[in-house]
Amino acid sequence: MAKSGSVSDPAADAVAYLMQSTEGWEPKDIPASSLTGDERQALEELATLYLEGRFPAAKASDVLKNGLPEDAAIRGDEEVFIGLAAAERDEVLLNYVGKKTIGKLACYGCHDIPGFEDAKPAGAALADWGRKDPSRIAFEQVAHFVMHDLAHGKEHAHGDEAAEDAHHGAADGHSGHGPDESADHAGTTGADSLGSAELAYRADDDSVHLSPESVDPDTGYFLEKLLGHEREGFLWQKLRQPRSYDYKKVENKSYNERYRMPQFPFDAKQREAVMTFVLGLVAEPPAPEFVYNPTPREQARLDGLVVAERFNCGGCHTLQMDRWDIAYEPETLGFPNDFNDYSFLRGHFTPKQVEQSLRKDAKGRLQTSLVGMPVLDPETGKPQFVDEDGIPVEPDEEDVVLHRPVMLWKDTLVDGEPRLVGGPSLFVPEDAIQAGKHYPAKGGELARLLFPVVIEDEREINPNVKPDDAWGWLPPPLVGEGTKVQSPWLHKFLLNPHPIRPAAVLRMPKFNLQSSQAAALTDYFASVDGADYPYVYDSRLDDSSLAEAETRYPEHLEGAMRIVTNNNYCVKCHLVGDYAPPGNPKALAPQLGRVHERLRPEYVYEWIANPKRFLPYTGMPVNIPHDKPVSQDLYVGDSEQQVGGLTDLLMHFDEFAKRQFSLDSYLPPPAGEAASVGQTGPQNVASATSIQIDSRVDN
Amino acid sequence: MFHPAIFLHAARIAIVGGLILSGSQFVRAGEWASLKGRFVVDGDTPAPVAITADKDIEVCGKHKLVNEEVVVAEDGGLANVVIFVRSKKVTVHPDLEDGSKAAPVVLDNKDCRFEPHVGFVQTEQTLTIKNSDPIGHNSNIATMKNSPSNSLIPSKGSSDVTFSRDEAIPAAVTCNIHPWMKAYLVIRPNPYGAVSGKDGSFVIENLPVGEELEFQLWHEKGGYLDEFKIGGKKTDAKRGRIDFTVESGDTDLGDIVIDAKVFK
Repeated sequence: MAKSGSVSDPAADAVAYLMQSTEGWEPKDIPASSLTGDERQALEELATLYLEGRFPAAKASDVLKNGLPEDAAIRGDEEVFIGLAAAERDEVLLNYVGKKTIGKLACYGCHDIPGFEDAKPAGAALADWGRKDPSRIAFEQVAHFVMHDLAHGKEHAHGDEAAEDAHHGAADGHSGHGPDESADHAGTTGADSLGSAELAYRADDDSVHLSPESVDPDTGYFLEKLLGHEREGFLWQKLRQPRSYDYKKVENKSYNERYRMPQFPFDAKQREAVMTFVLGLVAEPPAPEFVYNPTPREQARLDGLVVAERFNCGGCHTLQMDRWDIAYEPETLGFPNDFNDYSFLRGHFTPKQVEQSLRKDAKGRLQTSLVGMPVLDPETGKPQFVDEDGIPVEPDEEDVVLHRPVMLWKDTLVDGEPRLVGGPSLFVPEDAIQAGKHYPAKGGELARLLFPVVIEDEREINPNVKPDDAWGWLPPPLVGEGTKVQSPWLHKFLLNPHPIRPAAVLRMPKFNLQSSQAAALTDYFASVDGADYPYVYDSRLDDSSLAEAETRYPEHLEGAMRIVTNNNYCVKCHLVGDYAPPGNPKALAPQLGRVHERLRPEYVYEWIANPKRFLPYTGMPVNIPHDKPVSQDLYVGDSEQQVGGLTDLLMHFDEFAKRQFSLDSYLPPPAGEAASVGQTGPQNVASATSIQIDSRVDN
Repeated sequence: MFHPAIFLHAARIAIVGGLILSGSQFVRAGEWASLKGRFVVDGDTPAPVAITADKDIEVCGKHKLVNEEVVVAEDGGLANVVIFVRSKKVTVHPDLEDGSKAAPVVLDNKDCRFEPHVGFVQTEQTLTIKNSDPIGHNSNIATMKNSPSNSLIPSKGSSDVTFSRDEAIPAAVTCNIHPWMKAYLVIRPNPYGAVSGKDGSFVIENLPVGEELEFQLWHEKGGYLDEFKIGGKKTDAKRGRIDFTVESGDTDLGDIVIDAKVFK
């Protein structure tokens, strides 16, 4: 307050602050920005008040006068005082006081105000107020105020008639027009802003005493609760006159420390309704039968989702594929192809599922659920439209029945027949999609965004680039990750990522996850895919299992290694140990020497048999067709045995590597041989069965 | 040269020697005739871009590899244009109905490229994918109606594939080991299709005489060819579709001239 008696209007300060934002509009008729002397003095006093909340008084005064030095390490609203220039002083102070006032009055509680997005609520949390310990409720001197208010209502600055009514009500115990209603009346006439005079200590306070029995029953009830320091009493008075809790406190409370809750114009009934609600907020847990009690697997999914969302895993990776629940005319989704592959790769459906797939609805349509990826236009990256033959068309093209090509990621039934992952894309008529429902993919936005970009880039090097290959250079979908990788490896990888696919254009950053967060994500992938976790036993990893296989198939691992290192097969693309195939990194594939720690044995076995069954867009060929094993010069056995041999080799690669290594050359030679060894020196060599990369194969 | 015995039914109108007739049908059961012609480019096309082999350089680096999207002879003949009968109802020569009895079509991985660059195969006809190179290749066939196949073909090895369904558009064949390698396979339910040779010429034999047939023209770079000249007359063929009725005897469409701008 300025010496002249004029006051600075907080609302005006707030307006000044708000007016500085010109996003989407142009301010007009702006009042003169120059302040009068009194206004400036009031402004400085208010600024001092706020600054003293941050700095000691002397420092606050200095900051107001000289600002803060340029190198001041300070954050928060007071930053504006860094380099305070005389020319901008008024503007800075107006902004500062305006912003502090908005914060104090919590305007952001109702209004969307830039810069206050993270501001805390102005009031106490009510979620469990109904069971708040009364000893933690500050009743202050409010009992005196209420006694005085009820006894001497007339003397207060309320409307005279209301005070008169209150007095009569107190005297005759008439409940219909008791003090409650007088307060209501007062509430609507500005009593929410009790003046300092009313809140200040009065000499006669201690002499005033009112018995709860002497007022009307409702008032008496709440007065008794108030005197007994119970929640109901506090709340009753808080809603009647919120700022009355500053009674006898204003002498030692600064302006900014006073209660700020406005007095809402409730009548007694409304007040009771609010009280009933707030007192009912006891945060009691719901009855056990109504509490969601997830299975451990579901809990793992939920816990993992929290971490996945926190670290935005879905920004790059697809966590869940698109799903289309469609209703289609029979035989409009093409026809199935004969199954011509390893028997263990056959799709599995129950007779009931087949029967359901053939059940028509009232419109004669069949239903199915397609899980997969929409085929994207390599030029635009948008979902492609095709005609019934699969020929790309524009969405607005006339005389064409629009279809959407879908690359399946989950086996499904169409017309009662299996459609398997790795098969041709399905061309789904637009009307079948419209008649059903589409659930968009979760995650993978960045990969989809980059899809046309990496194709265009690659086209400059290789004009014959195949669009599907681009998916292999982008963050991979993590659908099926749980059945693909070993949980311990994934946990370690998440904590310390390392490159896996040489062709990838992006590298996964290190997120500095906690071990528990990495574990939650690991369990999430296993749980959503129905895989075992956290501990998995697979007999194929046992040494005894390997020994048995080696007894059954001579040169089991050696034969498999001959396939791996033959220049026609794995080493054409894959890194193996210290060998890296020369050529374009875009055509390189992951390190096989680490497969044993990364992938699950069952996945490796089926993946080798037909990679497309698990990753529909992969460019990895079928190296060992089910009906045409590779040369017997490499591995003696049929296709399944060869696939088994490769799987065993990859899952025991470390064991195989150990067998190739001998310590003999490091050990002291037997007496008598020292001289000859001394001439040649020690050699770090593999055993005599070292592998040669060989391209000479008769197939 | 425009052969008067050919009934060109662009926009469902028959043209005979300059006279316009409507809806003529001259079906002659048991008569078969061949259709030939030559695709020619009018104008300059971009020079073929050289491809740098960055894999198996000791083998692939020996060959002069180029992007084969547009292959034009010195006299303008356009290679690798596909022309096939699109009509579903077509009388097929009895000897040619069963694709499984036809001689296998060979697609060879040779000199680190596919030979031929565009091949034609009938459903149930055997496609033999060979590898004449001293290195391994894979042949990733991106079919739309048949199960995609992607077999590794070891050096000097081969793999046989058959297709039970026809494909509306040519299927791309790629080698993931050597990403520059690309070819196309035209898979049709009947034998009535051809791919123009190096000089741009093509022949489709044993077509039923007098049957109005819808043909479709496609080129790797130009897509469906919907604008060209036959006998000097401009012809519009929406999405590359055009109707012909073949008359007795060998018929020659002459030069089918395509503007070079289609390939830019």
